[in-house]
Amino acid sequence: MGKPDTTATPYQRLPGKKRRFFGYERLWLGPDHLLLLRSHNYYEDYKRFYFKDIQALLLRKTSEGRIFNLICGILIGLCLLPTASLDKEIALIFWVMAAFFFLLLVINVLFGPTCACHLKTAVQTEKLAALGRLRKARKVINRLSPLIHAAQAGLNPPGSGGPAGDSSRRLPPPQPAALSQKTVKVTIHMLLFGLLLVLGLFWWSKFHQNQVVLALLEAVCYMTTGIIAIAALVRQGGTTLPALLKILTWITLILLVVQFFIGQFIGLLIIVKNPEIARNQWVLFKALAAVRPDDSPLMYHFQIISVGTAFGLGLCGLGAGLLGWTGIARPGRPKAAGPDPSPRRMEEA
Amino acid sequence: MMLCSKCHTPVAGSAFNTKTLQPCGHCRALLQTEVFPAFYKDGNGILSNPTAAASNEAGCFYHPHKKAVVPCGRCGRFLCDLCDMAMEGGHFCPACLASGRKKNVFRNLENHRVLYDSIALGLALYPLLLFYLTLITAPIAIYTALRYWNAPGSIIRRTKIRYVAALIISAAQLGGWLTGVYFLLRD
Repeated sequence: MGKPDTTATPYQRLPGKKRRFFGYERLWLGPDHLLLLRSHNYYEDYKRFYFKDIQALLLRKTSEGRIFNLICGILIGLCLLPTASLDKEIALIFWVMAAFFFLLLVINVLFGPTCACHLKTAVQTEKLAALGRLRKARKVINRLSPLIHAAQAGLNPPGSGGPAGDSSRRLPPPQPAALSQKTVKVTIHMLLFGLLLVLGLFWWSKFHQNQVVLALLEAVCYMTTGIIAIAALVRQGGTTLPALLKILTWITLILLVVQFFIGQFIGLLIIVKNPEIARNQWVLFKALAAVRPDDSPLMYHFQIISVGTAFGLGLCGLGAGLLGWTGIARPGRPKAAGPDPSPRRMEEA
Repeated sequence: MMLCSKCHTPVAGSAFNTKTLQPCGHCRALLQTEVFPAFYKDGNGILSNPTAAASNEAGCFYHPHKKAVVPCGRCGRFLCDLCDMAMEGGHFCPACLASGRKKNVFRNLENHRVLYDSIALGLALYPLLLFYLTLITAPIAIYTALRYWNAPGSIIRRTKIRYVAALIISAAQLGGWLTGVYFLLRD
């Protein structure tokens, strides 16, 4: 008997990879187990799921892909909107930005619908983040299923006639209310999006009048919105709130941060032009309040985009809250009479 | 019990192994559920209720009232279904498994590895952004590459290419420094 080959790895790479800021997550197929590898660039963590222990694999189609497409579409529209009325040089910047978002959109469409995949054993349910796309997840499941069935060949329940068996008899009847779903209040999110609408109104008012009182109110509204956005982000972590509401909250924070940096940049420009007012904050604030969006075409279009985004986000967020996408446990909807909707059609949707 | 990953309500048995997306009965999320025989294991009482040992049968070392089904491959203690740990083709008791893990006997229990090859390569590459740092980092990269040449790398790849690249790049950096110092002294 020859010496075992220690140079060859016993693992085969499976499709799917989840990139993270530091490292990635990937699945590898071992001789008798599935290896979940979490790489952190300079060290790796491993989790092994033996085929004989795997009880189930659960795929759930998610809407992340569609939301990403929607956001990309909106951003492309916002980038293309001002190009008609801008100088060629400045319009080129917006064209390049639009092309970038279009590229992201195409890549996302090519990758296909998104999903969340969970692996269940007797003692744990592990999310397989590497399987984030439905197509790849199905490939992996099709490859794993025969191996798992082979490893569990002796475990078929007597009289079941196969793994599927009469499972409905073994399971307790579905309960009307969710077991671990808690009621999540979305008041803070509604408040955030309401304030965002008010902030949008303040930004819109800059096109017509520049009053210090309005600028003061806008500053107060801006700071309150920022604080509430952070509070909403803290609150929404680990809750069952819909992904759309969570994403809208993140985009709101990004908008506020971008506005903050733009404000800082304009303030810096004013100080460079008039260094004598740098020491007097009140004079600087008045100078900032006196800045009109139509002072420069770039600022004009940026202000239009900001107003549009604030109104869009505010209305979408309020709509999501009011339409019942609140994550609050809803009573189970009875299935409609007649044949079930075609699963294939639902997948295509 | 199989729960929907979105609303955490039980998934109906009719949705199992259909190979297509089926709407959850509660939240209507589209689910595909692949269930394997191990799912029914607990229901059959294989694990949850090990057979009680009769008076003339061997009992488990850890649970004397339960029937022993296999001896430990290292210490020979009799084990019941609950205590039997199957690993790398053998059967072990929890104590032997724990000691084997400490001594790195079981390769399949390893769940963490430091990638010294990536560290060496990182030390050789990233300081190039601030070139002066390479005077310090190049020797460190060479030391790391040589010191950990035989240390186990990633479990999924077995090449030494990162070590080799780190050595070549670091040697080139040191060579550059030596050449610079030589010309500086000569002038």
